[in-house]
Amino acid sequence: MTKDELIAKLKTIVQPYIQDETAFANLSENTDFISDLKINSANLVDVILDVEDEFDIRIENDDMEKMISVKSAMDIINEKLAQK
Amino acid sequence: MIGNDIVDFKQAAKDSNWKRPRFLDKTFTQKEQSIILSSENKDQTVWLLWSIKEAAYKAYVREFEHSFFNPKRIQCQLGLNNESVVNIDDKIYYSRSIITSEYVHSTASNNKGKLPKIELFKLSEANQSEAVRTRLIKQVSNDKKRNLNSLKLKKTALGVPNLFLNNQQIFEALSISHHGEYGAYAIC
Repeated sequence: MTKDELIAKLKTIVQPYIQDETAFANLSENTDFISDLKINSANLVDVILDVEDEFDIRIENDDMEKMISVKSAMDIINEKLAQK
Repeated sequence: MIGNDIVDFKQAAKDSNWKRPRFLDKTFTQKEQSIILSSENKDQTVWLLWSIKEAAYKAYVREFEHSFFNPKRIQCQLGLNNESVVNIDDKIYYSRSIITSEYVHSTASNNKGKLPKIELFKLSEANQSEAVRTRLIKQVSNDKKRNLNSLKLKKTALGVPNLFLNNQQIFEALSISHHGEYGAYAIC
């Protein structure tokens, strides 16, 4: 999967939970889930679960801990996909 | 250091489905999950524990200027009278919660003897974040008999709020929260 494809998939996953439309429209690798997209922290759990379902991977809490931005989410997804 | 968090039950029911597979496992320790599953009002217990974790997390972020996302690393022990003890690794926070049929509000402090002063209110404005800030500034302006314009709220890069009077920080710690129809702040 290319970087752009991965960003596009993540964008679809986070869309239901975002509370900042402008930050969502400008979503990039550097976008932070909480401070930029204003996703509430309970919904960040949903984002993680949706990522698990979409990519058929499991994210342990130690990895989840780092998943606070698009960039870190992409790193963890790629790492987990490589292990499959 | 302090933190506070409010959960509006109606909003939480709209926003989140804690019954979806693996949600509880990602969020609560085994011990917390058994408290939830054996409680009479499971929704209420989920959001009570959540608000305690959030409040303690905010106090932690203010103290250590480090953010993370791992609700399970924040461990709650519910005590009597809605007072709880929270561990984040080897750090301890003391929390107190208010539960009504509409919302749960929790405050946490690393100092047991120093729980913050709380203001809690219903919000009707669309921009809640702005509305809570305005309330806070109005109240402080009244209390301190200072002009509204001399007070400014600023957030650090990690989102920790501080209030400034003519560029001088005026409270040791401050925490703001809003959710659904409710807003609150805590000051110490």
